[in-house]
Amino acid sequence: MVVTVSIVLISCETDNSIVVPEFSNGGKLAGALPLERKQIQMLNGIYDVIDGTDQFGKIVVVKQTGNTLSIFTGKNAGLVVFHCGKIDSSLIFEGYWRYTQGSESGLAQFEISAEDNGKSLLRGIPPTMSFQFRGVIGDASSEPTTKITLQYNRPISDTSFVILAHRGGGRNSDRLAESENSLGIIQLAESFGANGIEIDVRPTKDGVPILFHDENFSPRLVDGEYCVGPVSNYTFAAIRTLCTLKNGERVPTLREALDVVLNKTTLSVVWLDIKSPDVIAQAAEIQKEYKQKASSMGRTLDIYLGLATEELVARYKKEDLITSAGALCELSVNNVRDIKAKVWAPRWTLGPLPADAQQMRSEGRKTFVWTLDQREFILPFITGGNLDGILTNYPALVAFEYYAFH
Amino acid sequence: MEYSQTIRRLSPLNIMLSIKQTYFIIVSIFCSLVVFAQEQDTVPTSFRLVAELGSGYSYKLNEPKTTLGIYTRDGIAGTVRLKWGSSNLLGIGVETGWIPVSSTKNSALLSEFGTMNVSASLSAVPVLAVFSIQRMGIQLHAGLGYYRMNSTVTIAGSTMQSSEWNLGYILSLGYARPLFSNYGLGAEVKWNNIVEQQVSIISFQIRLICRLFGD
Repeated sequence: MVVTVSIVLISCETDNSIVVPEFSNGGKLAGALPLERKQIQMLNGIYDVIDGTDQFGKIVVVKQTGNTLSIFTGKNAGLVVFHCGKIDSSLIFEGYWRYTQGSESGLAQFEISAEDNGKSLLRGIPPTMSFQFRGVIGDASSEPTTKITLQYNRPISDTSFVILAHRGGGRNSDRLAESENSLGIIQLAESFGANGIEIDVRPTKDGVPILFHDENFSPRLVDGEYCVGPVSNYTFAAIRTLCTLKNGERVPTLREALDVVLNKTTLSVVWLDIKSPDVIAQAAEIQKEYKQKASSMGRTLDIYLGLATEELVARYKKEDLITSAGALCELSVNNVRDIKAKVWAPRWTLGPLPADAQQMRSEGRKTFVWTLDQREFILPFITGGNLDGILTNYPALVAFEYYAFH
Repeated sequence: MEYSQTIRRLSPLNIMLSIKQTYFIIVSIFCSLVVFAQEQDTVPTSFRLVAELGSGYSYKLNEPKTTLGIYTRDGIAGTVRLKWGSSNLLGIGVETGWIPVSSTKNSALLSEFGTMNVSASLSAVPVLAVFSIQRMGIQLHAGLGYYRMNSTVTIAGSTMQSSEWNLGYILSLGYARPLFSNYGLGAEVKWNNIVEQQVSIISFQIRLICRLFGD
């Protein structure tokens, strides 16, 4: 009985949170001026790993991602996210590294001195084959001491492939710094390697389109003692008052999410995964409104209404949205043609379908496959699938595979 | 939004693990109970059908993650249990009842929607298969099943009700003494655990036991 009672006590919930470390007092960046995006972009390229192959593998992809610089390592879907600054002519890069398919993380600190290409990069001269990007990484919050040296190999040749981050940037189960389908995760998506996002849209009881994946509230997605059962049982005011997402964020509306996409990111594709027929008409109106806003800002932003079921397709047709809204259809190619969808999105488990994808392309449509997370399948899909994009929970991994090997 | 924020770990896995742990706990308890009962079995066995009614004070053990104002996590819970089994070994039955989980109220909540009148309450109705063992008036119960979680929310004059079923279990320790020929009176400490909602409630109940059938 003693053993049994012990087991019962041990079974009580534990908080298995981890902390992505930060430099104390803001690190060196505290006294630095921010780098411009085009200056960060100068570092884009495929690099050979000279020191640090145990941590990063043999090659990495370095890419400007919004206001940050990211390194995609391939190993365990690893990534490094740097905030960038300059002190005089020295370039400072500080942030964190982590394996998104794992729990290891730590501080990362790279620097390019004025003499070592710092001045030339600031003058807009791109790195040469002899350029080395050097720094240190550490474990957890410890002082970073493990030396990393990256040797510039070649530029990134093509950035047109659409890498869509699932649920706005990633799932709660991957222990990201922001909750899935939150405004915060949308702002992080680019640093993870995405240039597009997929977000889940469902209506509240009073018809407000919000971002929420599941039909029901659960402790997996929200904290909120009185949020029980179907989301559609609650008004928007009730949800905003009683529930928070797992990292404490408010449940966002679709409008708030698209505002963030437009004003705080450079994302180019938004896939609205429509979760209820009752929200299609409103989502289509908002889609139209934000496409116009993007156009007036000079932004290229494709927003698609994602239709995954026959029921959704039927409502889409009933609402007479075929000519006015751009749809993404997850059903057959015949369904895609029937509703004049702009994107066909088959599930990846069907395998690469290059002939169908090529046919879609010849009809002026795109093909995105979902939700592909397995490294061994990503490259075959990229090289042999005639795809225009991949939806994934690990955009860092797809970015690595696409930019490094395509 | 800084990358340095604390990040939470794997809620779905936690829940899945808890469900597995729940099954393991229940099985472990009953293995222990059976061994215990068999070791103690020195008197003749008779079989009976018993109804139990209980009521008493309940208290939710978990702190709320957010509060809106006045928060109450105690109340009066009730139990109805129907059990068939031997007089001194294992019993099996079903249990239901009503458990007030918590409630909150704020008549002037400042929010993005203005100043609002908010009230909310959460209760649970267990529907559990229970197993028991008794010896010298002391009874151990363990049960597994589902809880019907009922939430009632009123915000700015609009009332919403919502429910769902959640997996959970119960453990209890009780004592009972005969009162009349077919009646007994007892007390019980109960621990209800609603796994999927991560809610634990302890209650102290007085119970009336009625033998419906058997010796």
